[in-house]
Amino acid sequence: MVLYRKMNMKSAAMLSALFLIILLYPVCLGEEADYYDWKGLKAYDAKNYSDSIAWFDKSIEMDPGYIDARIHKGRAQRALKDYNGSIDTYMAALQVDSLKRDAWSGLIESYSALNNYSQAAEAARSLREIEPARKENWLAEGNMLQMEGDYQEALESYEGATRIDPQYKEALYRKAVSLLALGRPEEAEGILDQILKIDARYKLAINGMGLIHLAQGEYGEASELFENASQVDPAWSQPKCNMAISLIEQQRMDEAMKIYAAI
Amino acid sequence: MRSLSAILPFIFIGAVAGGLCLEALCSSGAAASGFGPSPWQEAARYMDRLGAKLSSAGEHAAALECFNESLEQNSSYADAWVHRAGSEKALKNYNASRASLQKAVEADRRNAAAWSALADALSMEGDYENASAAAAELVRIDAKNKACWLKKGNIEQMRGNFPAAEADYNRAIDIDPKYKDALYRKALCALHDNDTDQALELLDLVLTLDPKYKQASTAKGLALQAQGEYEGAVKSFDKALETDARWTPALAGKMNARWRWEGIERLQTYS
Repeated sequence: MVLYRKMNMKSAAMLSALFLIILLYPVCLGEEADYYDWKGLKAYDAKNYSDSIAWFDKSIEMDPGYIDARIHKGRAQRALKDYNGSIDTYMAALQVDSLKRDAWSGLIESYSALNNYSQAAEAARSLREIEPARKENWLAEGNMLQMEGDYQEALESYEGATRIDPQYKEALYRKAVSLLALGRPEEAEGILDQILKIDARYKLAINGMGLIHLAQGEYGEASELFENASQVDPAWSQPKCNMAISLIEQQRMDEAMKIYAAI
Repeated sequence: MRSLSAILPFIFIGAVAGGLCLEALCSSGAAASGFGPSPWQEAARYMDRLGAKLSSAGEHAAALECFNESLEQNSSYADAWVHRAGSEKALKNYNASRASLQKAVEADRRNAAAWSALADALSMEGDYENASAAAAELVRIDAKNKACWLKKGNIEQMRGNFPAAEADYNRAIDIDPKYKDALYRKALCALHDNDTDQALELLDLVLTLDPKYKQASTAKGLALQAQGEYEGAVKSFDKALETDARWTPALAGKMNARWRWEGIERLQTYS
């Protein structure tokens, strides 16, 4: 009887232990996945990208549903310029959670780095459909379409962004670029004017306005605008290049080369 | 035997005195004249080497401490001053870097590395006058080195002194007729003089030597633009963009040339 009771207690204890193990196992695995992800992030911060990928892989092995590790791995692969690898990683992340913004953003970056703007635009469109109230998603979609050369569709995306925020300078500027590419410089000039009313020191708009004047052969105005843009950001080479080009158009080669040789 | 034991103390005293004299000679700079480096010079070299190792591992603050230690042992050690300047520059202490280079050239007037780095530092500060003087010292020391002539030419070009720059590039090209960097820079001098034909000849030579030389493709585009050959200019800018899709001078040049070539009527309607 005593022996029976002893045996009963023993099996009860074993059962409880087993139950606890079953209960705690996923928790432990989750914590381990989190720990390895943290180690990977530390290695990433130290720019040891290969090491960081090994840690992220361990994290994913511990918990295949741990999406953050996949996103971090994709970013480390991008840092190593393994863009195809990062695309696979982001795709796998989206299989876990198809609404994850960071995975879509990473995908856009990777396709863009491979100059595959059509896929990048597709990814940007998906992201915009997931979060249509976020103006940055409209801008990203427009930018990818613009890089693909689809200026008309890009224009629609920028309009989507400015519907959310009518003073969104980045989207307004890109819209002006699309209008210029579509041969509508008068509308582009109007939008650049609008941006400069919002922010008189917005260098892209100042430089863009200079380009419109340059294209029309208004060299004096163009030079003044390129000079202004250079004053806003002396390290920015684009207005200096444009200034040199403007001087070449005027056959003022000596002045042009003085600027160009110093870029 | 007795006589040997009698003179042994004198031999010992002589040896000690000789050693002390040798040490004194070495530390007073006689090392260079054949006595070998003094312990201080050895220590300075060791610390300099240690600093250089740390510096190449990106540990610039620690490297700086080693160079300082090296210079404490031997303040006329020009190489340590040059290396110290490199670490200061990496730490973005540009004034300290330049000051170290000044010390380096004071310590050794014939140290080409010191003059070269000093010319770079002054040029970066926009002090082209003194940069040019430093580069002149450099070519005086190392006149057979094409890179020294290129450096001097570049400084003259940045200074706006294109004739002097062209003379320097010619010296570099005399040493190596296929020196593409000097040929490219000489082409900019030709463009400055509005001699677009010579510029195109030089740029074509550079592109034969290295078809991926994006600066040469871009400059060729500018030369063609100056001749009104916008279609050819667009092709040249495109060639540069094949090598580097984000190369600003080519992007800017292409945009302008395309407008002139393809969209001139459209823009005329607008204006």
